[in-house]
Amino acid sequence: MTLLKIDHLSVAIHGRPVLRDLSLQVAAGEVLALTGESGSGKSMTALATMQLLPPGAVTQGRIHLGTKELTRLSESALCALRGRDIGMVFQEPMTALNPVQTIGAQVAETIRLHTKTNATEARAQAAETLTRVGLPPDRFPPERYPHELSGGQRQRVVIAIAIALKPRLLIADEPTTALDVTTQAKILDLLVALAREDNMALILITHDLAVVAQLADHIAVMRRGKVVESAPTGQLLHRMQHPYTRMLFEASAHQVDLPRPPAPKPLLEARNLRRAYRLPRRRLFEKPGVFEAVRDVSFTLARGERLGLVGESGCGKSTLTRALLGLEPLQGGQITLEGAPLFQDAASSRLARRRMQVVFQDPFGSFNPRHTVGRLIAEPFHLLRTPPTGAKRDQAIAKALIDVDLTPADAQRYIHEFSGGQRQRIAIARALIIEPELIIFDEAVSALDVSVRAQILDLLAELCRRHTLTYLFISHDLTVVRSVTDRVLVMQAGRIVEEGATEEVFTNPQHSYTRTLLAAAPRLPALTATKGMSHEG
Amino acid sequence: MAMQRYILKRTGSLILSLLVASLVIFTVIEIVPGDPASFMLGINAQPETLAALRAELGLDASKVGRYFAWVGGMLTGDFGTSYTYRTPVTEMVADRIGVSIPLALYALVLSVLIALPAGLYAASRRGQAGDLGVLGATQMGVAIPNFWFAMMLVLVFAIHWRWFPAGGFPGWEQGFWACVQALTLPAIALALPQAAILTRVMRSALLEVLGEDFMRTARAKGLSARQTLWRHGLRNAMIPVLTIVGLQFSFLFAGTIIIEQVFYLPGLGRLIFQSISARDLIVVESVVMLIVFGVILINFLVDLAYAAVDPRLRNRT
Repeated sequence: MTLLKIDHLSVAIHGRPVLRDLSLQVAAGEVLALTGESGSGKSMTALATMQLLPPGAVTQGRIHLGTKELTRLSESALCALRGRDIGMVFQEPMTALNPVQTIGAQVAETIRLHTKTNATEARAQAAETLTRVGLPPDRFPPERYPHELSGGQRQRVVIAIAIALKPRLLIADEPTTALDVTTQAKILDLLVALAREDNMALILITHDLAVVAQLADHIAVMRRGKVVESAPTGQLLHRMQHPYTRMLFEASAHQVDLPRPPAPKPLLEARNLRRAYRLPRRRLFEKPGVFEAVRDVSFTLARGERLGLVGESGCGKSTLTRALLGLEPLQGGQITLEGAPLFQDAASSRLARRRMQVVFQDPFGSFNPRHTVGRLIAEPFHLLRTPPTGAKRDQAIAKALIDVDLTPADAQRYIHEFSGGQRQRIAIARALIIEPELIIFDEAVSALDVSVRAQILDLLAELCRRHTLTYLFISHDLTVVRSVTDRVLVMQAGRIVEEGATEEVFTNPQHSYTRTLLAAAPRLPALTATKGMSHEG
Repeated sequence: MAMQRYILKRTGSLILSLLVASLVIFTVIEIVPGDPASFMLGINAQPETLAALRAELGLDASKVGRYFAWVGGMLTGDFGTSYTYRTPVTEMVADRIGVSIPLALYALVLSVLIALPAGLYAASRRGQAGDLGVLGATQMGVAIPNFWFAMMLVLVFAIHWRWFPAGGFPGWEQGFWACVQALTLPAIALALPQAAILTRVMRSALLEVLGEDFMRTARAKGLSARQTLWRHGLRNAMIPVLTIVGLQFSFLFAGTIIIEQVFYLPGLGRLIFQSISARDLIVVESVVMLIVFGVILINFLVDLAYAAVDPRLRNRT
């Protein structure tokens, strides 16, 4: 029995089409996965279904929920429908809740809004719903505020709000993208279990094909506002009729060919690093507590080696990265580069910055928008004692741009003219220009679409072949780390719990935490087939 | 529990601020410009008069001793004796404070009462005619000085229509309403520029909150756009607004100096103005300290209001 039926839906915002002739349907008790790259119109489909499109949107076509045609309903009828018949879960659990209201009040609000319950009853029902999503009142009192909960717990509250009235349709828009793998697994299980229990239709919007393949009954692949392929999961995974679908799955499982690293000769050594933060005092005159973000971390990075660092958020990998870059003071331990201690004085810090460069996650926020690309790339030159000038400088910029498959002419353009993937190439060019001995990639491909990510990873492999590149690759994405590193460190609660050759660690993990991580990460079922294909090709 | 600790911390910082402020004021007025007695009497003073004044002011005691005597006096309500008027400063201040504090508070309340609805109105009609109208009006409000408003208000409401007195203050013993009437025009003149600033802050704070993810969550619950704004937007937008309200109180106090001149009100502003002209440093020192106390106290209250509005702040240091 079809519950939601979207019929030839087209949406344009201020004249710019975002959805084109889209048709979809989902039955009660069914899980429909909507997947595709950023800008494909997945979220717009959700917002159109909620009739919460941004101002300036013009809709054509029909959206039926049961017998109701949503595009024709009045705003007040829609308000009565939202939250009662359709629940929605959003991507960003950290900001999706009102920070100045308790979680209990936020769940109870939905209940009171649509039903004639008094405050006490609504509170009791809210507590029940919170228990259902795994936040029992004895451990998570409803009087808590959102900031007192972790990301995963907040997402549970958002889910509680969405399912409080047992809606017929639940839409989850990238519900786990901002969460760690182990949390992701639990939240996804919860969503699917709730949908099955209440016989809800669930639309799961995600760019993560492994998640899609694991959970959905039916998959719709979107591209540029259109559904390019839609079929029951088994059928779609098996056939992949549309070339775009196949490309997406291949790019997700993309493996690169790294050249063999040279014989190990230590470049960077970290010895017993320790970084502790003072916690606020609990009581006046009490000794303040200490949070150890990095505890006794030691590792060696050889010249030409590609080292991975994995762990969940809060494990200390960002702090460690910042410490390696000299951006975070250490309470103990020493970092040496070819035996010379770093960050001892101004001169050694300067030397360290010249020999190490970093590429950050955010391709949008890490550039000054008012500088030309040439100037942005040439920025690290100020670290050199005699920076090149004139034609030499231009040559260096051109070479760096060519290295990352851009053109020398791009030096005159501004950063807003480039896509996310191109910006990340520019960030790599900026890191390469002074020929550092070590590059740190801090979640450098995490914000990119799978197809772009595959290209950037290929670029890395190519650069490794051309120059002897040494890098530390920090990521929460295990598939990527597996592909581009020789050795991997697994970090948990400030310590390195496992260390070894990447393949060895992934196939035969020793530490229980590594095993949990690997088990929680969703797997692409077609992984082996596509991996084999790309290796041959 | 968290709230109590927060209040305790804020109180500690309140006391510390007052201590530092008193030290600064004392140092600036009593120590830096040489001998206050000769400064007060001018260059032609007789040595005997000077010595008498020095003894009267207690200047023969040590600096540390004088500081403690001054602070101790203030704590017990003794602000010393005015040199020009020969009356206890406490009495003079007590009379004037009954004009200035109600005036500043009246202006603050008016400014909030104008700004909150105006900001809300503008934000809910972003880019439309109403919003542009409000923005234009606030632009003028910010640009025009308050004494000009004061003169216009007097021309229209006091001289032309005779609704309010043009100046002067009857004193509280003459009845509450007579005093409110006397303070209304000055309060409006003080409040208008502040209301203009506050409206703009309110508008932009609300617009920022409107773009937040939790507002979308609220809409997905089934709240209408208006309900979302009232239930989820307003309280979150209050945080920047409170900051500005706290800052404005000190501006209002400074503003009273001019406005009290225009309306011939016997307030602290006039007192400080006259005392500076008469070089009556005892009065200046005490009134400045009182104003500083008032401003710090208001900021303390703003801090408490922050914590009441935003639970995240209660755990901060």
